[in-house]
Amino acid sequence: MDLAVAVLALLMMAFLMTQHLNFEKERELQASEKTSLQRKAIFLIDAMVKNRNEENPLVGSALLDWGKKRVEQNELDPELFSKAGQLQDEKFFVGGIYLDFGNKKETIFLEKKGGECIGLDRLVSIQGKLAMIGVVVCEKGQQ
Amino acid sequence: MKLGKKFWLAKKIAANEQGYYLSLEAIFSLALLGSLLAMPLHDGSPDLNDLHVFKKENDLLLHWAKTSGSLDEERIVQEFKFAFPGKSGEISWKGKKISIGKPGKESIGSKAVFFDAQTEKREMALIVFKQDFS
Repeated sequence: MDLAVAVLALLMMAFLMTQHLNFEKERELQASEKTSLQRKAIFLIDAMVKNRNEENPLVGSALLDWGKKRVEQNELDPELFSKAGQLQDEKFFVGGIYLDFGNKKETIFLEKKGGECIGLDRLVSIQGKLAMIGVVVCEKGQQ
Repeated sequence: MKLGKKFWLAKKIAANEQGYYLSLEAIFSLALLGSLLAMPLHDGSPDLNDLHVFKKENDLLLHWAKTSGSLDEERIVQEFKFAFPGKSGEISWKGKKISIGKPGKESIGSKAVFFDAQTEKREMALIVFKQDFS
């Protein structure tokens, strides 16, 4: 009897452990997917406010100070920013970008494709005025 | 006589004491249960929200540092509310503490040290509380 109870308890423990591990694995996978999208959005918007890329303003729209011959980080070039186009890879795409002045909001582009999306914003200066730029990054494959 | 008495007492104690006998399997089970309970549990799924708030704080401090000549309390409050809608915070500027909303328990802070137009050293600290009060 003692042996039967002990074996049953052992089996139950083993079952609980495998269930727990499966649950943890599933949760880690979900968290990793969520974090991956969030990470991409953070890196993208960080590049946008710190770099300047005239070919693809989505990865660099900072103002170029010709006098100092340097890119002014967190100073947005609104003209260049308005030319920002699409960016995508196998797993994600940029669903939209916008510029918010508080009293006025300009949407550069916005695509509604229905995948899981994440929106992030950053603060920039435009000629001494504070503004907010936002980016919407979406997952591919669930459209 | 003495030895006999001792033996009798030992027998009596042995008869009254109730012991527990565990089989090897039961010990394994208990050990497994212990290890299961000792497994560390994650406190919520990890995310990068704190990093994002920290980056926004740095953006705001940079903007304030660049425009410090025209910076006043009213503008600080207005721009904080624009940057972090629904959030509470505290800003230290020129030895003064400006509070916005109710303070929370957890916060993310950042500090900037810069030289203003008169090459005077300035320090500015910004704290954003994690709790949403909107």
